[in-house]
Amino acid sequence: MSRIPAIVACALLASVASLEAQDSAAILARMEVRLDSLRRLAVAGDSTTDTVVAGGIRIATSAALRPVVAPAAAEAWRGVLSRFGPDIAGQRALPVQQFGGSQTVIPRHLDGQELATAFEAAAARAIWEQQDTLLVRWLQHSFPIAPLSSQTREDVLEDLVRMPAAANSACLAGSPGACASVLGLNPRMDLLAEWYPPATWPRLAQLADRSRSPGDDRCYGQKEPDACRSILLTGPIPPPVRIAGRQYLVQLALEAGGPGAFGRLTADSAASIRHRLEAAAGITVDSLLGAWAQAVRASRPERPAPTAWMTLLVLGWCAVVLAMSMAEGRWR
Amino acid sequence: MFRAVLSSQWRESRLAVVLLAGLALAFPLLSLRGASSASDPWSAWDLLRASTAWSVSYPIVALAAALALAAGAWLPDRRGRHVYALTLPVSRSRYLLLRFAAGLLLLLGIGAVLGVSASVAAARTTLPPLLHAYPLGLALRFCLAGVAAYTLLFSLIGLTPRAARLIVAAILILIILGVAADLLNLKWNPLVAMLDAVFGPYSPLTAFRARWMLIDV
Repeated sequence: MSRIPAIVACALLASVASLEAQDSAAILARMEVRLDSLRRLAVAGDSTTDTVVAGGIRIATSAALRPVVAPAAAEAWRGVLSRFGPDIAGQRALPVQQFGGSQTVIPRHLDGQELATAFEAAAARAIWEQQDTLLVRWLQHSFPIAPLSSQTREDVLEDLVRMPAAANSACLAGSPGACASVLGLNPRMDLLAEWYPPATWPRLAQLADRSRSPGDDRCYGQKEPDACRSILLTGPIPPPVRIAGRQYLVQLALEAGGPGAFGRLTADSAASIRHRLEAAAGITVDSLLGAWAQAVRASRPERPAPTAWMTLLVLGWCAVVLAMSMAEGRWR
Repeated sequence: MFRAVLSSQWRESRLAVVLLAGLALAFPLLSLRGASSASDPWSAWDLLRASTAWSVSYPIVALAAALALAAGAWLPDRRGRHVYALTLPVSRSRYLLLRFAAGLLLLLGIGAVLGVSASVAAARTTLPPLLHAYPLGLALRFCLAGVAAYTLLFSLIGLTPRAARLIVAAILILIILGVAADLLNLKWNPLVAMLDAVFGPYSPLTAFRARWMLIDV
């Protein structure tokens, strides 16, 4: 007998007792998720013999790996709770993560902290993917699953400076309205016209790398804005700032909002992103955008001129090396 | 005395110095040669792209200059088996300082050429708002990185055979310890630690680590 029907039957029997007492729609949804994960475990077959559960995180692994996986999963769940708030435990179940199997040899240098970070990132990604379409599409499936690095903030600043978008320089100067436009917070039908002046469209069409047809020469050759516009509208328009800019705005909103911020961000899926960010952060969206612009401005990359500290350090090293070289008494 | 040593150094490394000074002169000018006018909406894009693409060339020139000058400082003495140096009425350390200073002067000369060229290139370019030119900063970083590399190479090339053998032995021991630490599943690996130190933020080569951008935000 195949294992899948047997596991499904067991799972159904185990849940029959509680079916009567609970809301049928909710229990059916939960059952569906549980059956999905059981099927996945069954498909994994011989390689998976143990499941580690820590809060909402479930990891299918082998018994041999449990001592490594269990503390990492617990650490990951603590990270998820601190990032998304305790309410996250009541939301939809997270998919089972697969880690190793009975044949897996435990790596000698397996870092528990790294493993926990990986589990937490996978759980965070799953949580974000479960959110409503408006939020997911605004973030373009690129979610803030970990705090953004200073390098990414530098890249956002570089985008603001180099992209010829109409609102970029005003945003850098601190205008919240301009930053709202740059970050796609203004609900407009004509995004291309809002973001870029027509003079930039021919080059933008080249950068967007759309598939070419013979008629496209009116854009690339004769630089006719209308022709470029029709090319650009065949796909997503390159945003004035990479999506990491939006991730950073969400990160700032969650940090400003403190406990429960994620719940407030995702509570009303009918509201606009602007209102949801405001609800999450607990401050006006203008203040949030002002803080975003200030933080991005402060992320300037290191200037080429060496600092006094670096100069002293390098010259000190040189003096030591030279002194050691001269201390040698022999010529040959 | 210094003039004689400088003249000897110049004779040995003049070809490399002229070539590298030529590159230091050409690179900043070439990097901004196609810069569009500031009224072009894409000028910031073009300038940053060009600056990024050419930023790799400056540390390479600094390293090449350091290598050529360090080798040039020792070549005449190696060729003559140090007889000329031993006939001079100066101590070994003073002679080494003179040799070091002669190479350093030529290295700083290449850095000055880079500074002038970068300043001219930046002055000829109308920068769009929010972009800045860093010709002086670039030249200073070039000099600092060049001095660090030159000092290390000068000391390494000038090693006596005995000291060279000791250093090679130390490196071999380090490699063996690194392999042993890996086999014994130790968390601390001396080889990795050494490499981290050599290329880390507190190493003498730290000046090579940053962005060498003539034009940047």
